[in-house]
Amino acid sequence: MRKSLLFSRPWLLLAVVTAILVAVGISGCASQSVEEAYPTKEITLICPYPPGGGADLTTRAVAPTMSELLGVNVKVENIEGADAQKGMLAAWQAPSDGYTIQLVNLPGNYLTAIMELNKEIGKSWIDLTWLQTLNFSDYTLWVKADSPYKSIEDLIKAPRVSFSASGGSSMYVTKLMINITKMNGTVVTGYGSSKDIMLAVARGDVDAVVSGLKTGLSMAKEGMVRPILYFTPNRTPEFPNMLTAREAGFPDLEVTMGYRGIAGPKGLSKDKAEKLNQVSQKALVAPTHVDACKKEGIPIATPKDLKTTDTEIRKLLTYWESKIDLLK
Amino acid sequence: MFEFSTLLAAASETLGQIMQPVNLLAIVGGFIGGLFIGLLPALGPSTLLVMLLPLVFKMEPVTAMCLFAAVMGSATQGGAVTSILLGIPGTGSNVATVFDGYPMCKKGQAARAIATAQVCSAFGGLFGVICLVLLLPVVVMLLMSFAAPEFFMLIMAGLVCIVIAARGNMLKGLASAAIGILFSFIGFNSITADIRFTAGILYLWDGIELIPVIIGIFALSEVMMLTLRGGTVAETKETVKGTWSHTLEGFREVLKHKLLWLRSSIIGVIIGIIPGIGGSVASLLSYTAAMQTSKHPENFGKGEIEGVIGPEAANNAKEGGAVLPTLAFGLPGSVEMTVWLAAFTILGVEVGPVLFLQKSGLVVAMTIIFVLAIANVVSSAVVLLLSRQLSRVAYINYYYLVPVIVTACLVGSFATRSEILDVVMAVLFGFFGYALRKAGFPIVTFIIGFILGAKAEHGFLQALMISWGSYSIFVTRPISLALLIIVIFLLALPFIRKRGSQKRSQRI
Repeated sequence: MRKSLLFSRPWLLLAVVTAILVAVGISGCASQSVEEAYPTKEITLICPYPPGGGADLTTRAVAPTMSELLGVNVKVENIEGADAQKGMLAAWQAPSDGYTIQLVNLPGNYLTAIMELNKEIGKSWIDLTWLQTLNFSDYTLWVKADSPYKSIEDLIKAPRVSFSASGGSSMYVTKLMINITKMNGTVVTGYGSSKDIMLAVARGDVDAVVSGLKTGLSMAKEGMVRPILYFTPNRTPEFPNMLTAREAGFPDLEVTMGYRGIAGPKGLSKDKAEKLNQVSQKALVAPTHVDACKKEGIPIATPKDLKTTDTEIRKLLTYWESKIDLLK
Repeated sequence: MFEFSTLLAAASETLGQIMQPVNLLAIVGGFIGGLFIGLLPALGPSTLLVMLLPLVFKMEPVTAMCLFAAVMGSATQGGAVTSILLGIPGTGSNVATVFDGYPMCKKGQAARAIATAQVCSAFGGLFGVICLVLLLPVVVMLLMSFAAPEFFMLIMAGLVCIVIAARGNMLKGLASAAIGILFSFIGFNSITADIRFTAGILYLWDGIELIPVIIGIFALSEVMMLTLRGGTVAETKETVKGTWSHTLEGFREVLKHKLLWLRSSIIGVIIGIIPGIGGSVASLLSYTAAMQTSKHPENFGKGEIEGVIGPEAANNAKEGGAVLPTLAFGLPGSVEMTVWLAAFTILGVEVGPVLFLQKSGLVVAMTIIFVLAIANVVSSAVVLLLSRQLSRVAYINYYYLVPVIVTACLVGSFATRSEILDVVMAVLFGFFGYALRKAGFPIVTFIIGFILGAKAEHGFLQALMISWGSYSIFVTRPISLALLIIVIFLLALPFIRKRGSQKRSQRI
C-alpha cells in the first residue's frame, strides 16, 4: 500500500503539525485579546419593569455612567410583564457573553419565580452572576393616623388585623411578619401601587400596611397615616423615637427588602464579571444615580466587590428560600 | 388647601411662563405629536409620552409639563377620527366611539360624526379641566369615598348594560358577553394569586392585552367583511357640505343633547379620578348610560349620534379627572399618568398634598391645567377644519384602503408593547370577530364583557377580603348602596318602559 505523501515526508508532517499548533495558538491569543478587549459592542441592560417606575429610573440612572466607563453603549431595554418574570427569563436565557445583563429586584423577583413561575427555574436563579447591589427600600409599618393601634404589640393582641399589599417584596415581608409575630392577620391584595396600599390604610380598608418610609411620608405630614415600627435599624430624622423591629423584640424582622441590583447570566466569565462589577461600583455613586435615589427617597447601597456582592445576595436568597412555606 | 389669592398669583405666573418661547415650542411640538399619534390606529398618548421621557431629564418642570399636557390634550381627539372612518379605535379610550361612529360613516355621515365628536370632545375636555380646578380642594374626600365595593358597583352598572346592548338578540348577545368575560379571566389573578387558563404560556400571564383584541375584533374582522363585500367603507354617498356647516352641525348636535353630554362628561371625570379603571371603561360606561337613557335605544349600534356624543365627551373629560389623584397623591389614574409620575420624579417635583402648598408646585399644576385646556380646544379646531377632507377616506376603494388598514393595524398592535405575539393575537381575534359577525353575535356585548369582566371580579373579591367575607359591605356603605340601587334600576328599566308602553297602547 502506498504511503500517503504526508507520512512519507517527516518534515512535511512536522510543518503541518507546527502550522496547526501555531493556528490554535494564534486563535487562542486572539480570543484572549477579544476577552481583554471586552466589551467591543453594545451591552443590553434589561429592566423587567415598564418605563416610568422606580426600577426603570434606577436602570436609566446607572446606564450612562456604565456606558461612559465601558466605552460602549449600555442600552436599557424594558421587557415588562408577568410580574417581572418575562424580563427575568429573557436575561436568564441570554448567552453568558457579558452583552446581556439585567436589573433585579430582590427578593421579590426570586420568590415570585419560585412560587408562581416554575420552582426549579426560580431556584436556579440563585446561580446568576451577582454583579452589584444599587439601592434598597427601608420598610416601615404604618397604620391610620387615628388608629387605636400604637405599636406592633397592639396589632399582635388584636383579635384580627388586615394589611394591604400590591404584590412583590412588600407582600412577602407582610406575610413573613404575620407568621413570625403569630398575629391573626390577613393580607388584602390586588392594589395597584405602593401609594395605593398606603391610601387603603388611610381610607380604612385595612388596619395596617408594610411599605417604604418615603411612600407614606407626605400622607403622614397631612395627618392621614402614622408609622409605628422601623424594620431595619436605619432611623430617620422624621421619626427619631420610633422603635425598630429588634428593639420591639422581633430581630427576625430585621430584613432589608427591595434590593435593586445588577446581575449577569449564570456562567459569566470572571474577567467580565469583575469588569462589570468595577464599572457598576462607580455607576452606583455617580451623580445621576445619587440624584435618582434622592428623588425617590431611597438609600444607596455601599459599593462592594464581586465576591462580597455574591456572598451577600446568596445569603439573602437562601434566607428567603427557607421561609417559602411561611409565605404561602 | 390654599388661599384664593395664592391661586391667582400662581395662575398669572403660569401664564407668563407658558408664553416663554421654549414653552410655546414644547406645546406646539407636543400638540403635533399627540394629534399624529392619535390618528395612528391603536397608538395612544402613553406610547409617545414614554418616547419623550428621556428628554425630561434636560427640561425645566414647566417646559416638560407643557410638552406632556399638549400630547395628552390632543391625542384623544385624533383617536376619534380612525374610530369613525375605519372602525379602528385610535386609542383604548375611543373604543365605544366605533359602535355608532363607524356605522354613521357607512351611512355616509362621516363628516357629521367627526364634527360632533370633536365639538363634544373639546367641551368634554374643558369640562374635565374645570372639574380639575374645582375639585382640587376636595380630591382627598373623593378618593377616600371610593374603595373596592364602590368600584365593583360602578363596574356592575356597566355590565348590566349588556342586557340593553343585547336587545333584539338576547341569547346571542348574552353568549357573546359571556365569552368576553371568560377571555378577561385569562392570566394572573392578583387577588387569589392563581394563574388561570394560560396553558403555561408566559405571554398570557398578564391576560390578553386590550389593544390587539380591539384591533382584531373591530378592524381586522371589518377588513375581512369589506374585502368580501368590495366597494368602499361608506355605502351611501355623503352630501359634502362646507367646513363651517359641519362645525355648526356638530355644535347643534351637542346642544341638542346637552344633558347627555353633561352626564357623560361627569362619568368621565369620576372614572378619571378613580385610579386603575381607565379610559376604555369611561368610554363604555358613558356609551351604555347613553343607550339606557335614550329614547331610541334600538338605533344604537346602527349609527346613532348619541352613541358618539356619550363616549367622546367622557374620554376627554376623563383626562382632567385622572390628573387629580396623580397630583394630590402620586396615584396614577391611567397608564399615561404613570409616565407623568415618572416625569415628576425625574424633575424632582414632589407630588402629594405638599405640591399645593408651594408656589412652584402650584405653577406646575396650573401649567397642566392651562395647556390641557388649550390643547383640547386647538386640536378639536384642527380636526374640525380637516373633517371634510378626512371624511373622503370613506370613499376610497377597498383595493387601496385594505392594505393600508391591515399594515397600520399590525404595526399598531406591535408598537404598543413591542411584542410580536400581540400581532398574532390581533390576527386571531380578527378571525374570531369575523366568525362572531357572520354568526350574528354582537361584538359590542363581547367587548363590554371583555373589558369589564375581570375588573368586576377584582372589585368583588377585594371587597369581600376587606369585609372578612361579609356581603353586607355592599349595602352598609352609602355610595356603594346608591350605586346598587342604580344597578337595580338599570336592570328594571326595560320592564318599566315596556309596562309604560303597554299601558299607553291600552289607553289608545
